[in-house]
Amino acid sequence: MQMLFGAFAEILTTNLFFYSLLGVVAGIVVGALPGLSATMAVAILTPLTFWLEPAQGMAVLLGVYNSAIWAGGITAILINTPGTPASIAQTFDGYHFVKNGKIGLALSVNTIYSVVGGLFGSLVLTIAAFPVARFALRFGPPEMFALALFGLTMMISVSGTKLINGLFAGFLGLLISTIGLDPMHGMPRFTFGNVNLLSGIPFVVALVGMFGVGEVLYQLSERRARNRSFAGDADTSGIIKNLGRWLPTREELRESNLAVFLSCVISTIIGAIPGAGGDIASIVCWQQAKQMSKKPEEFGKGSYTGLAVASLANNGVIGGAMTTMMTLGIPGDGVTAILIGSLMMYGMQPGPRLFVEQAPFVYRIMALMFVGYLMILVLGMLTARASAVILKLKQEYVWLAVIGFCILGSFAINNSVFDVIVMFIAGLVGFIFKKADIPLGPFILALLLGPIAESNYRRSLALSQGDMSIFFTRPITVVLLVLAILSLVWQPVRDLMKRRREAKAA
Amino acid sequence: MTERKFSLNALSIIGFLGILLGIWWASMASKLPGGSMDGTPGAGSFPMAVSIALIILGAIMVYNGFKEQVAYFARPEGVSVEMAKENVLAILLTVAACALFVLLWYWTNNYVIANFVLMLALALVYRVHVVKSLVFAIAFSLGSYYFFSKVLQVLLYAR
Repeated sequence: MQMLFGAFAEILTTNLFFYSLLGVVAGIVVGALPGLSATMAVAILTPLTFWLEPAQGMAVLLGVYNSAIWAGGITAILINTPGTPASIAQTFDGYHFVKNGKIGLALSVNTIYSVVGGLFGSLVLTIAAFPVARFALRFGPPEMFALALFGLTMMISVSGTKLINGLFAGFLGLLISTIGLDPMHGMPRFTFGNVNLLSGIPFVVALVGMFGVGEVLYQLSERRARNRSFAGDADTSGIIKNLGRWLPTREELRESNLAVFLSCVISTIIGAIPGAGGDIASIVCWQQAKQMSKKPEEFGKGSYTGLAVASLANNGVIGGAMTTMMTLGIPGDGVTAILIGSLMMYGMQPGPRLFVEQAPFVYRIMALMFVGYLMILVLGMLTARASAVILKLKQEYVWLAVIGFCILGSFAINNSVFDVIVMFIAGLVGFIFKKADIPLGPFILALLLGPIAESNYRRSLALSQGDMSIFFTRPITVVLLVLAILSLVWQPVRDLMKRRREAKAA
Repeated sequence: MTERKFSLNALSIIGFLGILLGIWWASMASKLPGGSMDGTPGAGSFPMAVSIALIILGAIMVYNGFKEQVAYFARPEGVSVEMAKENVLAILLTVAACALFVLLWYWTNNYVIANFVLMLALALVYRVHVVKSLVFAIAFSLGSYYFFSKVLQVLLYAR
């Protein structure tokens, strides 16, 4: 506890506060612009924060992460277009508030409940992280292999409707992850004599390319008109003038209390599951709230509770995702996958050892989560009108800036033009995959988890002298492997049962 | 995405490329040590297993692609024919401009010139007004150079 309070004092009295504020403001711009996701922003900013101290860099990145997810709700509400994928559920009710003249209330609901969800998740992180890390210290190579496999299969199962496409992307990522030095014997593999490939395909560079340049190419392919602003045909000037009531009534607060509490718990648990992010959490929580509501007919037509839980859930996942990422080294969602790359860039390995070797840094991260959300609460209530102005920005300028920053970010990590070339290639691959409905998440995660899975698999067999039963005689390993298999077969089995039910009904 | 008659689509092509990649990788992996006497898998075992899985998955994707008959790269809904053609051209020119940027940067070893050419070219491709394109290109190339080389002390030399 003392270290946590010390971290708070450090943030409030040093330049960490400034870096956190910088991140929150950057996140507002990114989150409010449809097409620019938190994942993309954190991916591009990661190499640009390389020169900062680790705590300063994480202050910026966490600020962007938390506020981009919150700010995505602003466009979801104002123009019925989610600013980030996690804001999809906020479009169900948010835009109806605008049509009914309750813009101010909608924006304050988004802010208040995003902060509530975020603070709850941060509290879970603070309370649960160290005990989970202590438990994870008992993990040996078989457990780490099973955990990596579980993380990958979870990401594959939630990443899209077609399991085969997800599996293909995952195995392609595993294949690419074998480029470089063999993790056990240090011999070069698949480097084609190129010294730049000895350390493998740089994870952050591939990420920047796929989520930066790849996304720009995709948006270019979907462009409907030249020099169009992000607001499209929506009239933002009216929004700026007529905000209406800001604060919720006591009755609205009372009616939503139970749904809000349950959503806090559900979203944090979903966030802790590898691969499941804010989009899944907010839809699950919205549906749950509708089922237990006394007025389910209001959901989808401007329900206060509907907007509240959707706003809460997409920020509530962050605490759970951060817990999984920091304690186990397995990302809880796409952004935490990038944050793993950020920590590795600073020379730290996420996982239980981080809590032993870098405990003060861990406490700083926890404190930064709380401080970031308090900043969002203040800024959110003050900047609602300004958010509508951001939407007037033209798409083309944003695309140019993104390409420019992708080049700089990917070059700056190793001062290497080779990385810029890899980034462009990754961007092209990312664009093609997105158009062909092949999910990027499994590819990126496999690139990250491949070396962990391979080295722990081989170490396990070295320990057991080739005896495969090492994977079936350790309880934690067995549980994780069973969960990994279940996560893959669950969707096809469910679809098969649904088809049989429909055939019987017919 | 739109439906059309039975034909090769992006999914089948990607699946086929996946098969080729898997075969190539497996052939390279077969030249690496497979394992040791004590049962420890060698450097080639994991890549070999992944390559085989990729070949199988690629084959399934090729089959799915033929069965689905969906054109993934067809004109998106809401985008006019003229705009779709312009978008395709813009994408191709973006790729070409990025390649040219790398070559120019490496050849001149001057980030500002290469970046200015890239930003100006892309802005014009995206049909931004000429004057605004020039202003943006100058501002971004000089601004980013100054920030990275003077503030962050990152030397923007290609070689």
